[in-house]
Amino acid sequence: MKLQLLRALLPSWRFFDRVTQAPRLFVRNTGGEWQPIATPPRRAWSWAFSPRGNLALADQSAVEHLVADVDELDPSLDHDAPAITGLVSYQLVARIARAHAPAGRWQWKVVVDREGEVSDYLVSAELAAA
Amino acid sequence: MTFAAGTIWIARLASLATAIAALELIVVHRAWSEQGVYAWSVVKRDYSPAGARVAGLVLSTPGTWLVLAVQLASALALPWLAQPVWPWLAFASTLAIAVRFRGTFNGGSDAMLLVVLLGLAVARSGAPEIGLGYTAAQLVLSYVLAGIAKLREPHWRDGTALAALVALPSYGVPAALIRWISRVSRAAGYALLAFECGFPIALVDPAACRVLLAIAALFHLGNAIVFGLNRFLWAWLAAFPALIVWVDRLR
Repeated sequence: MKLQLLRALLPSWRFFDRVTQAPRLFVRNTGGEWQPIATPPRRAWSWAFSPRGNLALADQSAVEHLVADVDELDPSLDHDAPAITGLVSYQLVARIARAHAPAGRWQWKVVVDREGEVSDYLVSAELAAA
Repeated sequence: MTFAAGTIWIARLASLATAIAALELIVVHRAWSEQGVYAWSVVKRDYSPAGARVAGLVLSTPGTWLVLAVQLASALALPWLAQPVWPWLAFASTLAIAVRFRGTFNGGSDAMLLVVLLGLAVARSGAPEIGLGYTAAQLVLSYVLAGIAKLREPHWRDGTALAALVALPSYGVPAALIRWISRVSRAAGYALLAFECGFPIALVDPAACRVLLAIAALFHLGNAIVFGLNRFLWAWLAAFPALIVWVDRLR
């Protein structure tokens, strides 16, 4: 609760200062091509009112929170360690992925780009059809 | 602009910003229902069992509907009813929504909207100088600190940052816009740095203040179109009258 209040009440006012690719969420059919989760199409009125665009931004923030949370854990942990899968941020990202899941058995992963080096940061186990 | 006039303009613009925030969440209500991504049954694990029971009164799915109703009603009341209870309710409900989404739903725009609503609440509670002064100070800081943070980054200093930013897939900028911006990105990037770092010039002269705020409005409109950051436009516009009032007063 304290953390949530601090995030809301103490803005850092640092916008767009780092030009690095934010962590991205991908989904795929088992054995298929990884696809980034789709961003909602822009509408003519999106500059003024954009519920789905802002939901997509909130989803992206959730992915970034997950990476920040996992960064604080022991780097030798397996991707399916309870210390990771028990995180609220992990649960939220798993649900975001499920909302974009393809038909059939599927997987999701988070990809990070650090100093130009792109790597799979977290890869889920194979999951039953959503 | 007088404090009274400034307070009325802030109330009108904050009303719009707050109502849009509430309506957007109502449109995507499935996302925070129990079947959605941000189900309370998941988010409440951030809390102790006792804390979750208390927080659930306002952050559960029915509680969130109630909070959104209060947010929307208080937003609509702001321009018409001058009692302090309305901006306090708008502030409290907006803060509750931010907490519901683990800090913010929409990053810095939530923070600026909270600044504006808190400043308005304080102003209507009998301390307009303090309320509008707080909002004006945060507005100036929002540009200057953003400018200083950019200056520390080599990509902003060498003029390549803006083209790289608009091309990041996470912002979903349409390809035609990326191509167009890339042509002017170096000059636009330096202009942005100069604008943000030079924003304190607004404090020394009312005419300069109005010119800089007009540029700022165009900047936020551009961000809304390019990056889809519509809430930033409304939240920052709502803060502008506070700065105009204080710069006129200092003159």
